[in-house]
Amino acid sequence: MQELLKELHKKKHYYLFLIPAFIFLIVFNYYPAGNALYHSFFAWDGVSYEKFIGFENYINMLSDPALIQSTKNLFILWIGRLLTWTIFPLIAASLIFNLKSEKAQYFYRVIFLVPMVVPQIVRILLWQFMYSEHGPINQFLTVIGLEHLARGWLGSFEYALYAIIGVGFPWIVGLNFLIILAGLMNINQSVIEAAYVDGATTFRRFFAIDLPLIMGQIKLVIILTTINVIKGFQLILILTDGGPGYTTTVPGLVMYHNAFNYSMMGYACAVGTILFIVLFILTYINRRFIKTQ
Amino acid sequence: MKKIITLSLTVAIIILLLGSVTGFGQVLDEEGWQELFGEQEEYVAENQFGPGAEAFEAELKVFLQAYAPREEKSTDPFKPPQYAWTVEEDYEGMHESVELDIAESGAIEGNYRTWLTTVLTGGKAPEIVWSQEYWCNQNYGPQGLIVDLKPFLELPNPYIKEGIPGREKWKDSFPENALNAMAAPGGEQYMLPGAAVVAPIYYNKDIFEEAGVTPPETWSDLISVSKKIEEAGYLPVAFAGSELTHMNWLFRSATYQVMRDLHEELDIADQPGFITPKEKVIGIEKGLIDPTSDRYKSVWPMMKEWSQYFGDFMGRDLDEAFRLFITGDAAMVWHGSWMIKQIIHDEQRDFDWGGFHFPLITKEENEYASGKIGLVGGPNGAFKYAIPQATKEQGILREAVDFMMFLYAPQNAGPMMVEHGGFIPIIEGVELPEDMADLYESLEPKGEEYEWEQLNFINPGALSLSAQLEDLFVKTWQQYIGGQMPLDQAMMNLKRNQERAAQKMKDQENWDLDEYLN
Repeated sequence: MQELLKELHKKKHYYLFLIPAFIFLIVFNYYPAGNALYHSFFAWDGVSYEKFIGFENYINMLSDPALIQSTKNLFILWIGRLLTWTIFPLIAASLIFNLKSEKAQYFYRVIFLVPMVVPQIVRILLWQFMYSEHGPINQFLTVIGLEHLARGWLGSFEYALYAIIGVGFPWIVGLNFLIILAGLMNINQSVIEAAYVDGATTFRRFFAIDLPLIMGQIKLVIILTTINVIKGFQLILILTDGGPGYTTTVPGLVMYHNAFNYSMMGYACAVGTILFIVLFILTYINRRFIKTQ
Repeated sequence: MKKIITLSLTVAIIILLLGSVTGFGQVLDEEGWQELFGEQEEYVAENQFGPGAEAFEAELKVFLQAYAPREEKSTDPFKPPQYAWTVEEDYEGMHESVELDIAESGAIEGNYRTWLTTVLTGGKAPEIVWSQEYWCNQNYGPQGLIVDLKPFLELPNPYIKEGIPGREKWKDSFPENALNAMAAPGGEQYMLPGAAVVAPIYYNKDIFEEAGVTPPETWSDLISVSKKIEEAGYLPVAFAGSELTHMNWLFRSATYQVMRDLHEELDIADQPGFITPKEKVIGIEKGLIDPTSDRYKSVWPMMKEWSQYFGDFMGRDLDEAFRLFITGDAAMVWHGSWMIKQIIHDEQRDFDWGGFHFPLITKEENEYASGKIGLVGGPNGAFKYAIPQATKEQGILREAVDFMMFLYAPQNAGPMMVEHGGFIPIIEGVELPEDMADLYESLEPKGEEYEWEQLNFINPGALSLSAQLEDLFVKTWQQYIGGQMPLDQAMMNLKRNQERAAQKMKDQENWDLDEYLN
C-alpha cells in the first residue's frame, strides 16, 4: 500500500491531467447509467413523480406485447444486419485489397467512404422516398414487368422488417469496411507471396490465410454491429415508428416511447438496463468464442 | 357629528370610485399576487398588467407554431405568416424593458413533442409555447411543467378595447364551451383556445363527375361512391395508415354516431352537456364505454369495409396522402381546414375541388346509430399556447401572462389568424374579411344532425386518456384492419389498456367515484 502511495505521489502530475477526463466520464457516462439503473426500480415520470416499486417494471416487461414482439424483431434484424454489414464490407475490402493498381485502390476506397459524410437523416429520408408507393423501387419493378411485386414496402406486415434491413444497400458500411480493409492491409506480404508460390488461388488464399488473419477485425465488426442494432432505433422511428402494428418495433423504440411519449421513465430505464445486459452478454460470447490469430 | 359622518362617507365613495376607474392599476392584492407569482416577483401595487405596467422586465422567447413568421421564399405558393413581427414591434414599443424573441417558422426541427418534453423538463422552453392540449392535460400539467392559466382568466385584459368582451374579465373573450373543451380533468386551463378547426373530406369534383357520383350523405353512399371511383380507375381514398390522424378521425367519427345515445347516461359528474375525462372514466368503470361491447365493436367491421378502397395505405403518411390527392391520383383526402390555402394555391392541382363532411350512419346500416354526426373539429385550432412553469421560477410569469393577454387581444390575434387562413377565429371581437367569412360559412355544416364532437363528446372511444392508449389504438387498428388480429382479440387489448389508463387517471387526479358507481 505504501509503495502504491509512493508511486502515485511520484507520478501525481500524470494523474492530475487525467482527472478532467475522469470527471467527464463519470458525469456524462457513468452517472446517467447508474441513475437509470437506480430509477429502473421506480415508477418515475422523469420529472416529479417517483415511487419505489421494486422489480415491478421488470415483471411488467414479461407481459408487454410491444416488448415481446420487439425482441423477436430485434433478433431478425440482428441476424440480417450481421450478414449484410459483415459480408458485403468484407467482399468490398477484399476486392480493393486485391487490386494491383494503388491508384485504383485509392479511388474505390474514396468512393465507398463518401456516403459516410452524408448526414444520417438525409440517408433515412432518401430511403423513405425509395420505398414509397410511387418511389423508384416500385417504378423500377413496374418498368421491368414486375408490377405485381410493387407495394407500400414500409406498410407491409410481411415485408416492412426486411425493408428496414434493406436500407443502406449495398451495405458497404463505411466504418466496417475501413476496419476490415485495415486488417487486410496489415497482413504480411511475405505470407501472401508464399501462398502464391505454393500454388494457392486468390480464392483459396482468401479462406486459408486472409480470413483467419483478420478474425480480430471481424470480431470487432460483429461487436460494433451488434451494439448498433441493439441501441439504434432512429431509422425505425423515422421510417415506420415501429409499425405497421408492432412489425418493426424494437426494444430501443419501446424505451423511447415510454420515456418521451408516455412519461414512464422508470419503465424505460428498466428496458435500457436489460438492453445493456444483453449487449454485455453478446459481447462476452463474441470475445470468448470467436478465435483470432 | 353628522357632518363628520357625511364627509367620511363622501371620501369613502370617492375612493371606491377612484378604485373602479383605476381598476386596471391594481387587480391583485398582495395575497393574490403571492399566490400567483410567489416570492419570485416583487409585489407591484399599481399597473400590474397592460401598457403602463410597472417594474416590467423580461426576455421572452415565443414559439407560435403555425403562426410563426418567416421571410417569403420564391418557392412559396403563397405568402407565409408574418403578422407576428407586427405584434412583436407593437408590444416592444409599449414595454421598453421587455425583449421578445419570436422564433421563426422551421426553428424547431425533428420530433416536436420530444423537443418540447425535453426543454420543459430542463426548464429551457420558450416562455410562450405551442402544444397540444392533451399533451398538457395528460403529461405536462400533472408533472407541474406548465402554468394553470385559469386564475388569470378572472382578471381584466387591459389590451382588449372598451365594449369588447374580455376587457372586464379575460375569460369573457373565449366561448365557454371552447374553454371547457380544452380544460384538464381537474378543471385546470393549461392552454387558451383561439381558433376553431374543421376537418372536411376534400374531393376531386372532376373524378366524381367522371365516375358519375356525388358527395355521399350516408355510410352506404360512401361505400358505393368509393366503389364506383375505383371502377373508374382511380384511388378512391388517400388514407394515411402509418400515423394516428386519419384512423383517429375515422374511429372518432364512426364511434360518435353509435355512442351518442349514451350521452345522457355519461353526463353525470361535471360540465353539463360535455363529456369530461372524469365522466369517461366513470363510463369505463360502469361498462358503458367498453370495447368488447356490441355497440363499440359495431363500427370496426365498417371501418374495415371502407379500408378496401384505401389502396396500399399502411405505410402512407399524411403528406403522401395529400400529394396523391393534389396530383389527381386519389379522389378523396381527409384533411384539416389549415390546408385550404395550400389546395387553392398548389400548382400541381388542375382540378375543381370541394369538401363534404363525414356522412350519416343510418339505423339500417347500424342498429346503434343515433342520427347525429359528430364532426371532427372544434375550438382547438392551432392558435393555442401555454406558459411553462419555469417562467414563475425565473420571476417573469407576469410578463409572460401580460404578453399572452396582448397576443390574444382580438386586434392582434385576429389579423394573425386571418393572414394564416387555416383556422377560424373564435375570440370575441375578431373581424373576418368577407371572402373568408364566406368560405368558412360554406364549410359550416348545415342540418340538425351535425354536432361538434369537441363540444359534446370528443373521443367517445376514450382513447385520449393517455398517450400510451392512443399508441396502442394505432397498433391495434393497423393489426385488425390489416387482417393480422381478429376483432375480439383487438377489443380485449383495448379494453385491458383502457381500464389501466382509467385507473391511472383516477389515481393521478385523486378521484373518489363511488357516488357515481353505486
